[in-house]
Amino acid sequence: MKSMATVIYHYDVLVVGAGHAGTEAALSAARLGAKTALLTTNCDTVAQMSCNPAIGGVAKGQIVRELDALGGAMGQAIDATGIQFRLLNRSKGPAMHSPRAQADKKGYQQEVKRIVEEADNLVLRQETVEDLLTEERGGVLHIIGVAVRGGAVYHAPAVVLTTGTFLAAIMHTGEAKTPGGRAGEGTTHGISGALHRLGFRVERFKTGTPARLNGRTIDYSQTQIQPGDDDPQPFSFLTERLTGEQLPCWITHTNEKVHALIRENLHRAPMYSGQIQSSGPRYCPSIEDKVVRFAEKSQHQLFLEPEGRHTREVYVNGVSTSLPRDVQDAMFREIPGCQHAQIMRYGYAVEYDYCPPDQLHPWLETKPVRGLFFAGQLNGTTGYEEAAAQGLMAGTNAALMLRGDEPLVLRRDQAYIGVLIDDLVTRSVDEPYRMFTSRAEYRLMLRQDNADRRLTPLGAKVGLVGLRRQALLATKEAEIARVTERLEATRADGVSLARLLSRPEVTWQDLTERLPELAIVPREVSQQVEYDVKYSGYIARQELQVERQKRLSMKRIPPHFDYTLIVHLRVEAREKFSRIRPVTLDQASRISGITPADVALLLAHLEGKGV
Amino acid sequence: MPRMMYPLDDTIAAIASAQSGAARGIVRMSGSHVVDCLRRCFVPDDYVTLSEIRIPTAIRGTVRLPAPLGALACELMLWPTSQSYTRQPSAELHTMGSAPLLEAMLATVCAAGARLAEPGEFTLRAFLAGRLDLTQAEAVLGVIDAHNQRELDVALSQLAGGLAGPLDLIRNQLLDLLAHLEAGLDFVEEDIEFISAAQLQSQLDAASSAVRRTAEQMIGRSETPDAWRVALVGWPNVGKSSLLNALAGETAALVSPAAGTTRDYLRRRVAWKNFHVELIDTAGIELAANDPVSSSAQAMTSEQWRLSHLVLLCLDASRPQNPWEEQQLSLAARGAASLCNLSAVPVPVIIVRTKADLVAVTNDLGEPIAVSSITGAGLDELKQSIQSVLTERYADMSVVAGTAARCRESLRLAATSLEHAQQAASLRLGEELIAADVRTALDEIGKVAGQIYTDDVLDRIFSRFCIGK
Repeated sequence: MKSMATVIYHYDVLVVGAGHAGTEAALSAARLGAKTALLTTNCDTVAQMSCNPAIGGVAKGQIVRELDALGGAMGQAIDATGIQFRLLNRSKGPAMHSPRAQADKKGYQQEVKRIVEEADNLVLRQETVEDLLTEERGGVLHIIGVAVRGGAVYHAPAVVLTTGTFLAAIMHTGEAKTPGGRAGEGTTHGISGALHRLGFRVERFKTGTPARLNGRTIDYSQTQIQPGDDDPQPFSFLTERLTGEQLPCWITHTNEKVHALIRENLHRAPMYSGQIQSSGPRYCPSIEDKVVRFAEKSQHQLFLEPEGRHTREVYVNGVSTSLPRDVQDAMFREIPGCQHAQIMRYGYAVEYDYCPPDQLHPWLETKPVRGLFFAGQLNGTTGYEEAAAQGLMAGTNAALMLRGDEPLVLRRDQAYIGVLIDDLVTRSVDEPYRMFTSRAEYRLMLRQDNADRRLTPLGAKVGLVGLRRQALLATKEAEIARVTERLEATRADGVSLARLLSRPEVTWQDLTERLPELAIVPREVSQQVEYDVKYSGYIARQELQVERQKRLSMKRIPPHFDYTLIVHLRVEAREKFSRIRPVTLDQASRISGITPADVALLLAHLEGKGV
Repeated sequence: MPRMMYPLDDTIAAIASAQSGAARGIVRMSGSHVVDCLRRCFVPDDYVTLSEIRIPTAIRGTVRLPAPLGALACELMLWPTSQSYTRQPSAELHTMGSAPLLEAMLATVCAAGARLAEPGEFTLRAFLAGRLDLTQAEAVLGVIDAHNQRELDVALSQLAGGLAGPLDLIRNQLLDLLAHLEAGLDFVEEDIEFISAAQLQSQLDAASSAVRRTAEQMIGRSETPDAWRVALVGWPNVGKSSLLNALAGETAALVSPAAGTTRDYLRRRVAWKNFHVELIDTAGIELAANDPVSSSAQAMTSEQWRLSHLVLLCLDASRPQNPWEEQQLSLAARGAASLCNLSAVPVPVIIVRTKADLVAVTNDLGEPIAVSSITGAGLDELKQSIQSVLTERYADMSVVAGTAARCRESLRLAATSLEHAQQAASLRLGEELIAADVRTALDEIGKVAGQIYTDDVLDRIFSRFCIGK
């Protein structure tokens, strides 16, 4: 190649990809003082919602609250632009309450883009990254930057890769295949090549998306309305009140005619014709999957969700499909309300590369390359919230690494984010990973209402959280302590009010009749006091379990521990330990296929040195 | 955690049989230098080169004990490769069950290069070699301090072997229940009722009582009883009731020369010094006697065996044996593995020849004991024999009880959690709280029967329900 004057930029942290992971990564690194560049192939698709236009939901909503407690942008952005807010699982206990919002797709993007643009230490740049640059120092590979299209080079000691579904992506609609990670966009090959070259294991997943309809052509009278909450609750601890007008969603359903049509055309669905080999998520099956696997069901629910305030486009939640266009057209002609609907975009399945996340340390740095971090769908997850959570942690840890500080690793009993990342790096994934509350064994402690109490102090310690958040929390904590003390000190019917409140049938309302001053206690305070009291038995039991598990997590395994030294270790255990390199015995015990005997042997070796 | 800082490769040795009273004694060895060690202290009767043996082999020979004991005849069982319990070269030296001789033999083996094994070390090796599965792991960890291999084997067969089945069933039911609960929590927008309140309540009730039942069963299995149950089994009119009375030293059972006088279970507690025995005379065989080898007769017999620690198989010395008696004898001779008692241990059997006064029989060592309820001949010998068999066979009950205590504690905690869950369900407190209790119960059962992970729960959800938009 002819020598040219190459432009070289110098940064502390580079973030490649400006989706939900990339934006949070860049924002958190910048907030910790790292000079950060956020590189995206297209500045108009920052924080794009490729699939459903919604934020939150069960378990995901809790993650957004945690992100917010750690200073992330997602909560504030959806509060500012959302078009419908609901608290799911209201009928269940507080641990299950999960905020969900219908997003204004464009409005959300604009808002996140604005937050990024206004952040200090942060540069948003339209670049296509073509290669990862590394250097070997002392036998260890270090990242030193990236090369971009057009001959420029960015140098940085830390790079966060958040490429989403764009690695070697192929979209399928029926028999038609198009290279690209999202409708209308291309794919990224240079990075795929670099990852292979650097020795990463790369595997393939598939995911899908449904068709979008023009809302003007939908007959909503044949559907059922699903309004937002009357008292919408914001995601961000900084948002006082939601003021925007709420738009409804609509519910319709498939029927036997639709199912028959799908069955007749199954041979043309890429998943069934063998055109797609990789596996997709079971919790988000395509409509053809639902019809095949649950043949006994005569109908499936569909949600018609508006994509924004200023568009008539409607997302049809529930019919993710890769069937050919003519089948998709025919399907909608049989669906109540959609008989005359125009499809604006056809559904498709997308196959993409991901790197099995057991190649990462718990702080999301890759094991093969020092200073290189992965976050988001690249790690085999799905969901904007899961991506954003990893982004925030990766960006934070990249900046902490440059400072020479200990990484921030959240524990499973501290946050859903801790559960998420521990699951990824310890157990890896065999289908796109989505968060469920059932994945969190300490679910009763990890509530959306106490995310700030759990995480804001941790965020403050490393510098992620601003003064306003800290002050709000301090005020709230003081008020919680004061009210709790009042409840302990005030007696009625021979017991303290706190004791009274612990009875399942007694509500806060009942207490205000006994102690009128309680009526003016702000809801976010009374809620905390009430939940603390009501859940205390369960929480105490969970804390006991946490304590027990902590003993194992105190036993640290040296980073370069040589597992071949343990001659009696089963081959499978040796292979898994060597690959995953657990940091503690606790983590080691959670690796799939590892038996108590393996852990006992490892412990014996670590303690006795003689085995 | 048990002590585990021993090297795992060196050659260890220990006495692996009951310390006293057993007819046969065993010294067990394991480690990479077993064969070297044996070459220094064991002389085969026939010409064999130990180092050339490649498959498990039994060899007769002698071990040279220090003077004045001299050469001791024994049988060597050699597992020269990893095809052994510990996955290491292993050996057993079988000889007479004499404590001083065994100790001398152990000392000789150690002088030849073996190290005295720490308590539980053989099992630890087997455990680490992956010979024991997850179900057994907890039992093993619990009995790691047990004194010898046989105790451990018994403990394992009693605890893991005997309870794995029911525990696995409970675990499965609870997992299903949890899957349904979790599905209802995580997939709120599905138009599916995953589990109704009534179903939830009834499944919790079922699981809770199953756990409690298993815990009780375990108590029955593992605790040294306040009296040993000794069943008198035999064909009608062989003189079981007379023998019971003679052993009890008083007239307890209604005795008649006509067959089938005993129409019901008859129990009699006796104490020989501090040894408490409950003698059980039954009418079981009589009831099914029309067809001696019928399945109902067999079932009756099995039931009696199952309920007892020891069976006295009574044969009338004054007449030839009938087919049923022949069958029982052959079962007893085979160790009657199919006839296990509540402790999941093959029931020891003492063969008693009754009515010895009617024929001339003498008591030779190793022969069935001949007794006469009329003259009292042979009764003392029989009492002796009953005591020594019981002591030997159940010597390890205390160790087992220790392990059982841990397992039982787990089951107790599981039962308590399920009671919490039942209460929460009846108060309609919320499925997430019920799920928390069910999870705790599963964790506790998991300590005995293997842990679960969320993936196990999710797998069940996704295989049963159409989830997802």
